[in-house]
Amino acid sequence: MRSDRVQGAVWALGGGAIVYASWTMDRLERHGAALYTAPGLVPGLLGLVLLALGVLLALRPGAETQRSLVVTWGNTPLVLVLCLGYAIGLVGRLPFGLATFVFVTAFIAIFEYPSFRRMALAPVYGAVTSLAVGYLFESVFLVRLP
Amino acid sequence: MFQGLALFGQSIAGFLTVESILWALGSSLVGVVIGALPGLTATMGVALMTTLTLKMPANQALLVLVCTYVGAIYGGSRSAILLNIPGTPASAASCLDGYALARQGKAGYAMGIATTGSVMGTLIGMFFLALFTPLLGNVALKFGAYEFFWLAAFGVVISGNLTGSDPLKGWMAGFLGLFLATVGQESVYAFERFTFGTRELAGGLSLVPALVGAFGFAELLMVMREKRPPVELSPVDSVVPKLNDLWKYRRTIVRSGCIGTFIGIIPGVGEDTAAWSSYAAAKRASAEKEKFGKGSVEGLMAAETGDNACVPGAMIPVLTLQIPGSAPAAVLMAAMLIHGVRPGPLIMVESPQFVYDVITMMLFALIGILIYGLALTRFLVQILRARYQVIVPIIFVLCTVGSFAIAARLFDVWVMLAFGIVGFALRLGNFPMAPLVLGLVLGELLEKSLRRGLVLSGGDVTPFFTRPISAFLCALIVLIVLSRFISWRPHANRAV
Repeated sequence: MRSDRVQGAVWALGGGAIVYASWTMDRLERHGAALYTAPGLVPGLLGLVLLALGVLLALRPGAETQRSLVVTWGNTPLVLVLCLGYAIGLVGRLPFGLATFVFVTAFIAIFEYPSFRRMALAPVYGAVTSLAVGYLFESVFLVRLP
Repeated sequence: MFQGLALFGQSIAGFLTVESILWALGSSLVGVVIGALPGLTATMGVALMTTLTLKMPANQALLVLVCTYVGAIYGGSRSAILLNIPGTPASAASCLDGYALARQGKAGYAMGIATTGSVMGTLIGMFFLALFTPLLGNVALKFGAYEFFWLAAFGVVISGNLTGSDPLKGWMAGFLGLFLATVGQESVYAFERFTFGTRELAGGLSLVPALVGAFGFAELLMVMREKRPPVELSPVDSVVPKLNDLWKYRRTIVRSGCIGTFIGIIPGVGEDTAAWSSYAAAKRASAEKEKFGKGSVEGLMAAETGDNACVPGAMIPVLTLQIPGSAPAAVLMAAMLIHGVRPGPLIMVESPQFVYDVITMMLFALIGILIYGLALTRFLVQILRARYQVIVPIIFVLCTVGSFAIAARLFDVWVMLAFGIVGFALRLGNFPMAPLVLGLVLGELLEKSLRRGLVLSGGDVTPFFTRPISAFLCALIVLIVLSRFISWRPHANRAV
């Protein structure tokens, strides 16, 4: 359960942290920088706005009575694990074609369960995607693969 | 005027090559397919295609991106009519009457009306693009640092105000985008801010991987979160539009085209607002108000004309002010910068040909959607049966490779992942994405203009409030914000 009040508090905290970081940022006075050219000026002002908007969100009338957001996660955690596993764990460590084949095959097989007929097609999709994306990027669009 | 026509002729001649025509047709089709699939938006399509077209010549790459953009906005109507699910947010208004017509056994007729509306909307928008760009370009020449600062702030505020259901959250998303744009070395002293010692962050957050994450990865997470019932498609009758519909609804078409273009010009607002506004205006003016929502051809025509007219409209501020009129236009603008094309106030002085090149690209896209709307309906209907379990991993592979391709570094893949997760969390909290994107794109302009203005005035902030255009923009922002603060209730009359 999350409400505007909690969200507002999180944003206000974030805005406050930005303001603090900007205020304590080097003002480069030794380089002749004036206050209005200090590197922290713009992020500081933006942090201040975020802080104010966060407070407004948390305190605005009706914030508590508004419909709270009930988060239904569905397949999200599993999708996240698979996608992060591919992008962080496989790409760059395995040859691109193999990494893509493993990811696409595993993803389809997991989400098509318990339809064994569709699961059996997963390696085909994996192989076709791996070959097609490799060809498309390297040969047609002349882009390097990870 | 004749000079404009000559430039337009030169642009058409320049693009009339087999290669360009094939790219235009192919990318329009990609756009239509992306737009037709619920959950995948035009912004995502343009962001993904940006990564694919990095090594292409600028004109060819932008042709691909414009065709994808136009195709995706049009493609959204397919699922709106056949499934009652908008393929893109821009097609939400088309669901009301499009699906009602399909339920009456007129799905093909509804798709014909959508095609007619889309083509006419794009044509009207193209006309205004050609007409207004030189005019607005002349006005933009009067803009200095003070005016650009307020314009950037205005873009974020108006985008937050009109996209999404809660303006306060829209503004928060917009200002977060502006803040994220300050990460990395600032422009005066090359001082590193918020990099936490990470060398890769010194150059700032890469825009395209961030956009691919916020719109690509985050959308995939949203798509997989929902359980979708098996697709039940309405039967399709003839999709050939009737010419007498064009005449019968001529006023609706012209009105919606004008509204759509005007909304496109407003920074960061976009196609969904254009569709809803055109729909509401058509309903107010209609003699058959009672039919709206129950299968009104006029309502469908208005929504489709409005959202498609918004596409060329959104390009007008991109070309003249470097301020995007919609989220996909923001990505398109980022792509222009990557390809070395610098839109802005000087465009009509330095490269007027480019403005007509963009109009020609729209014309090619229009031909593409006309062909697909008439000839490939049954194929496109089958696309709606595609299984997300298969599409999602393939698109994620493209998001990953595309993010890497920008600078051949894995760090950009991590940026994409981070923005995807943050974008997903923000969507869950009902924060709209369009202002965030606009903030990211406009952040540099806002900071540069503020600091330049302060340096010019020796730290005096008075010129920000006393120069006529600055004062006008500032007053407009204050009015928008105050109008929302007077009423605390978030407006909930629009679909997000």
